[in-house]
Amino acid sequence: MEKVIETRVFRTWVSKEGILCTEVKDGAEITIEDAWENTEAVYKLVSPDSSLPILVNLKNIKSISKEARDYFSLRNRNSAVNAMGLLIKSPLSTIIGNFFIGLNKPVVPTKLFYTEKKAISWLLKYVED
Amino acid sequence: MSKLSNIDLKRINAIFSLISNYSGIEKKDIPENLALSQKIEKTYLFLKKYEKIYKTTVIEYDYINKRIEEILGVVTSIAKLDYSKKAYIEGNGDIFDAIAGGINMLGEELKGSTVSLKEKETLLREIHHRVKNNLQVISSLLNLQTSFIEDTTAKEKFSESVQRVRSMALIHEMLYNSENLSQLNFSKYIESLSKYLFDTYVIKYGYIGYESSIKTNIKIQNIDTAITCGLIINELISNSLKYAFPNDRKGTLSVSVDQNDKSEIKIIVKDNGIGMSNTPVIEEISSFGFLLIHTLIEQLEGKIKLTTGQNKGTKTEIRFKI
Repeated sequence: MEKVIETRVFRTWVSKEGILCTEVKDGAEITIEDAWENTEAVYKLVSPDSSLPILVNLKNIKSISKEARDYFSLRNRNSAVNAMGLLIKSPLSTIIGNFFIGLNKPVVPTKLFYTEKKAISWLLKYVED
Repeated sequence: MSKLSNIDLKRINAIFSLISNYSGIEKKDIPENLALSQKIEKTYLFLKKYEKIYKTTVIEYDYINKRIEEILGVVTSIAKLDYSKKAYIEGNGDIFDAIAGGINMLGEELKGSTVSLKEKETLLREIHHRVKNNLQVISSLLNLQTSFIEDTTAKEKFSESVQRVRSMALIHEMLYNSENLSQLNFSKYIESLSKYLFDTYVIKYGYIGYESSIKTNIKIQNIDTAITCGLIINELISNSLKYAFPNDRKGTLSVSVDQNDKSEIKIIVKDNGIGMSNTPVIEEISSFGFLLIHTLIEQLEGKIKLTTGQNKGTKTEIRFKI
């Protein structure tokens, strides 16, 4: 069974396909502290000197602070993460996802997806052998 | 259902648009007799009718009103650069939450940009202040040196250099005192420079009147252009004050600045002094001052025209593009 690290607003694990998955809990309001916790979780799951694509499920997000957005984009786990798929559903998650890509400009390839299947298909290209 | 009589038509249009987007009903599906300017109550009933067909929910007026009021309040605050208000996200997963979230994030980004701009502005102001101070130190040093020079010609040359440096310092002084750092009020600069030069020389030369006709509010964004132009005016005014009115001759010096169209500036420095017997070719005049004027005009890619005659004064006209 996959090891799941649970923090205040995230659940994070590595899928059987080798994709790092982070799910935002229902109604979560992400702060910079949450972003730090998430990074710690990612480092625990990704072995040193390797990097994985990440699938971030934003479907149930309520808000994310500017500090957290900047942190995720500028000081991203760029050594541990090599691509980012953002799963969106509601109008709010769509706005947040577009905002993150457009204004915060993440340093790794990032795309928005409405379905998990399509997101995983794209992220698989970034799974290292 | 709430009464709608107090809702103005503009808001009806906005609300209608939101409802139709939210419910997934295309505007083309709305019959023409239910145009946007009609009462929203009819529109609401119409949408309610289609609710079951489209398997969707039409939002209640009170909710729409409340959310729009709140979001508009935040937008208004942001427009006033007040970032303390945040739009509430109810967590209903609807379009209002999306707009509220978007507005909140835009506010945060705008706040960051505003702070950054303010910091840059302060820094730029400080730089202009320091440049002006440094130029003042240079002119003071030159001035001090002048007092130790006994040779009259050398003393005069040093004084001229002091004026040139002060002309440049004046621009930086005006910039750090101005509200807008990105452009210089050229009209004010020329007015101040002319008055400053006149006041400096008039002690020595007396009997000379000063007139100016400067078109107000000419703005220049390129500070180099303003400095170059200031140096030219410095040379022309000081030349007139030094040479046009010998032996306590009475007369007038006038400076006019005009903007022919948005991109061309015309400056005329004129005196009614002794003038010159023949109009000289500027390029052929061997004085340092005219050599400087010639070089500076080339820098501006401008044109200069000198008109003079024995006892007919001297008129110099400069035109350049900004």
